[in-house]
Amino acid sequence: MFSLANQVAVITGAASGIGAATAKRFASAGADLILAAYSPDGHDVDAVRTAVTRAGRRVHVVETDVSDTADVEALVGTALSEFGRVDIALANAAIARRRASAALGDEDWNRTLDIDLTGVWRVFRAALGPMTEAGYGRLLATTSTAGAFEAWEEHAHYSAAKAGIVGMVRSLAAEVGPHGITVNAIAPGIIATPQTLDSVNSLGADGIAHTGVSQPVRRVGQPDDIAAAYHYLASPDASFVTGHVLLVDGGRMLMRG
Amino acid sequence: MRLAGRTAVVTGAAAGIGRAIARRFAQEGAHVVVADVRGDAGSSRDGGPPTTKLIETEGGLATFVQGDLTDPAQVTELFDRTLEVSGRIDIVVSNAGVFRGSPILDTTVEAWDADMDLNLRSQYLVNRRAVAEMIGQREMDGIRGRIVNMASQLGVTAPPGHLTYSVAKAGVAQMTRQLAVDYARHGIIVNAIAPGRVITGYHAGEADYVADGTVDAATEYSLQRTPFPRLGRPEDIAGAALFLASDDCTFVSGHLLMVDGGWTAY
Repeated sequence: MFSLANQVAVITGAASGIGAATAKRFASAGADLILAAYSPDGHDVDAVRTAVTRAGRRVHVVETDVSDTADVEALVGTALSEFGRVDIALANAAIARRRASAALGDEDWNRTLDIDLTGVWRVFRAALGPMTEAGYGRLLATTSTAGAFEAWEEHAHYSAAKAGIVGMVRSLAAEVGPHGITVNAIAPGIIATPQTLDSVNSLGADGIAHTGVSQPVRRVGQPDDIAAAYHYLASPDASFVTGHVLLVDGGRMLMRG
Repeated sequence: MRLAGRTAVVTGAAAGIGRAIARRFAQEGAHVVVADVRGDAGSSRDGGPPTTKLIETEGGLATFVQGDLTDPAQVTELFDRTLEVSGRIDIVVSNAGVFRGSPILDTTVEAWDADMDLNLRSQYLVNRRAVAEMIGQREMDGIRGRIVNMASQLGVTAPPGHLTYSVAKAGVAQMTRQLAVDYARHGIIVNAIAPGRVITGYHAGEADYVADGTVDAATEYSLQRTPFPRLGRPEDIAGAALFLASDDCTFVSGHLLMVDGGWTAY
């Protein structure tokens, strides 16, 4: 189902959480991978690399700061130099730092937007050339229910970036559709990732447990839930889906409860 | 074979989108109950053999049940028959419908009622029985059943002069959200697909467009207005339905998945 055989995918934020789960999923569907990791985050990308290799696929890990244009271009360049193509680009890397808005200075604002919004754009822009030439491509980004669909207090910067992704996806879908490139985003609800488990900047383990019971499906999501949805959107089966934001939130946005 | 051992009811499966969904599900190992108001003898309106024969030729398992799903008794019969042959209903795709409508001044009370029967009430009847069966079933990986309803892009935008169709399809999308909220806790996942312009044998002339490259004015407009460089195919909707009907879909519920080539994004 939804074969990615011999396709090449670039994934940012691949060392943990949603990115790591999606990398494994894509590999099991037959894709070769270029994984972007940012070592100061402290996540161990080796486990992901090993899992991809065990699935019988080729993988390169590239140290990448998505706030650096040259880094991102080198990342996509690696896909072309090593595998000769880039079919799928998943811009997933992001940070979430809690800041009361009165104390949200330019530096925090700019840093978050630079990674969470412009970082997505850098990935898309770098992949657009080769995808246009190939007449095929899948541009994918991780947005959030926060900002795009609901409020998240003390995360105005993060919310602005995530809502910005939605506008980018829509406009780009219309622009590059004629080249056979689709552009979509997934808006995860509450997912048990290292980011969400951070009790300073997000819900933490207790908050996740508390939130889970209030979701229509009575649980929070797992990275694999998002990876499964990305698998569909990344596949040729989703050719006629573009400019869409797929909510993978356990029904959270239906109730706002 | 992602649907091996599963039983799926697909309504309106004699032709077009329903036929493509039934075929795809059977290819993934499901036993497909092909439901349609039209008979299953002769050839499909799309050309080729009837859907059940097509599936059997491809090595799949299919059962045909004829029925008019605006009639509660015939909905009951469809589900009773499905339970007879399989004992369980894992997936229901409520797809049967008819594209028609008129501006409000031309929409008589009789036409309103008839169109709502076809495009909204029939889906309510199918969903009600689906939920009733699924809620009592044993869980499989936490899920008792999945429902996929066919809404439409035209329930999101407002197609000129198609009052009943757009209202019914918007109703289908809202019913989907409501059932998702009410039954997620019971392990029932409910989603909808909103197809954009999909070329099926249903619209006169469009099959010819595919075959000989001639394009009528309406199709030309759709093509020009759709960002993706072609219009939809029934297989596009089948792919989306497969995702929503599979084990991959356990944390997506109440969603309206647009499969429209970017029409509504544009």
